[in-house]
Formats: sequence, C-alpha cells, structure tokens
Amino acid sequence: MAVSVDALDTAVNPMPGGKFRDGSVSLVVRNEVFQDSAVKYGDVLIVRGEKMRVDHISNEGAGTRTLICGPAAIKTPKF
Amino acid sequence: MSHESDIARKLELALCERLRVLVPAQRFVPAKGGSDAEDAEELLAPFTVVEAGRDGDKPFSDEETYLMEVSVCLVTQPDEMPPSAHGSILGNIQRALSQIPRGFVASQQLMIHGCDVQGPPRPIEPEDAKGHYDVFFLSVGCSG
Repeated sequence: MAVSVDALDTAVNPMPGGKFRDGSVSLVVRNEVFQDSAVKYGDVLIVRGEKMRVDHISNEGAGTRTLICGPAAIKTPKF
Repeated sequence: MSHESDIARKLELALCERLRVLVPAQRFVPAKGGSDAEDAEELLAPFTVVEAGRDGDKPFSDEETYLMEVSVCLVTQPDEMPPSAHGSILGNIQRALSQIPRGFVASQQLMIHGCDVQGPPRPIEPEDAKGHYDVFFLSVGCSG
C-alpha cells in the first residue's frame, strides 16, 4: 500500500501510427512494501487505473521510496 | 485531399495489409493510424509504422504512376524485449519487404509496380528516446 500517490495527469496525443498516452505520477511507498513488491526500473504499474512505467526510484525519505512513473507506451520518433 | 496524399494513404494501407500477411505476429500500422473502418488507437510497443512520403514523384507526365518514398519503422520497448528479439523481428520484416508482391491490391484499388528496399535498417536515436527504433527506407512505384 502506498503512503501517498500524486494526482494523475494524462493526455492522449497523436503520433505517427496512432495515439500516445502521456502522463506522469509519483508514489511514495514504505521500504517494506517496496522490498516485498520487488518493483524495479522499467516495470509497469497500474496507477489510478492507468498503465504507468517506473522511470526512477529514489530513497530520499526516511523509511520510504519514491517511484517516479512516466507513460507505459513509447512514442514513434520523428525522423 | 490531394491525389498524392490519397495515393500515399492507399499505399500505407496496402503495404500494411501485405506485411501483415507476411509477418502475422507483428503489428503494422499506417502513419495516420487506423484503417478504412477504424480510427487511430493507442499503441503499445512492439509495433511497426509504415509512412509514405506526401510528395511522391510522378516521373511520367502522361501516366498516373508515382514513385513514393516509404519508411517502415520498428518500435520496441527495451524493458520488455531484449535486443535479440528486436533483431529477430527486424530480420522478419526485412525478409517480408523483399517479398512484397507486385500487383493489384483490390482493397485499396492500388497497383504496386515494384518495391526497392534501400539497404539494411538504420537505427535511430531521438533525444528523448525510450524505445528501440530501426527504420527501413524503400521506394515504391504505384498507381491508383
């Protein structure tokens, strides 16, 4: 269970080939929860009903970890 | 919509149709997304985007034949697919591109006269890249 979960802000934008759901959110979880979940960089989590990918994990808080998540999808590049 | 744009869209849909037959496990989508029947949808890698240039050459003024530049871009997610699997899909697409049959594509009312793949795939690395991308470039002669 998370200590806190930011408000989730997502937007769907066009990209070559289809649509891309962009967004970000951060979650603060207790160290025990973090260890039990075995979550790692690159994993996909369902946050407030949306698929989000773990982009960064920080341990700035006392006894907590912060999971900073971005979109699960990736954009088609322009070239 | 100009005739060139119309041809480009038809060509993207026709190539996707043929590539889906040749590589059924891979998802091919036209650059503007969707199909004749469906709107564009949200995509999760792996997928391959087929994009035809909007300014095709028309080398013969008295014929409705266009020479179109086309890119075929494979997009995979490195966290979910090792480089070997990406390379394997890339090999399948390369073989399929060399086997695209000439002839009439009835669903798009488009004649494909020939297809020339310009060398091996080129990896691209955009600044904000989170994916693994490789692009094939080809020239396609078509009329419709």
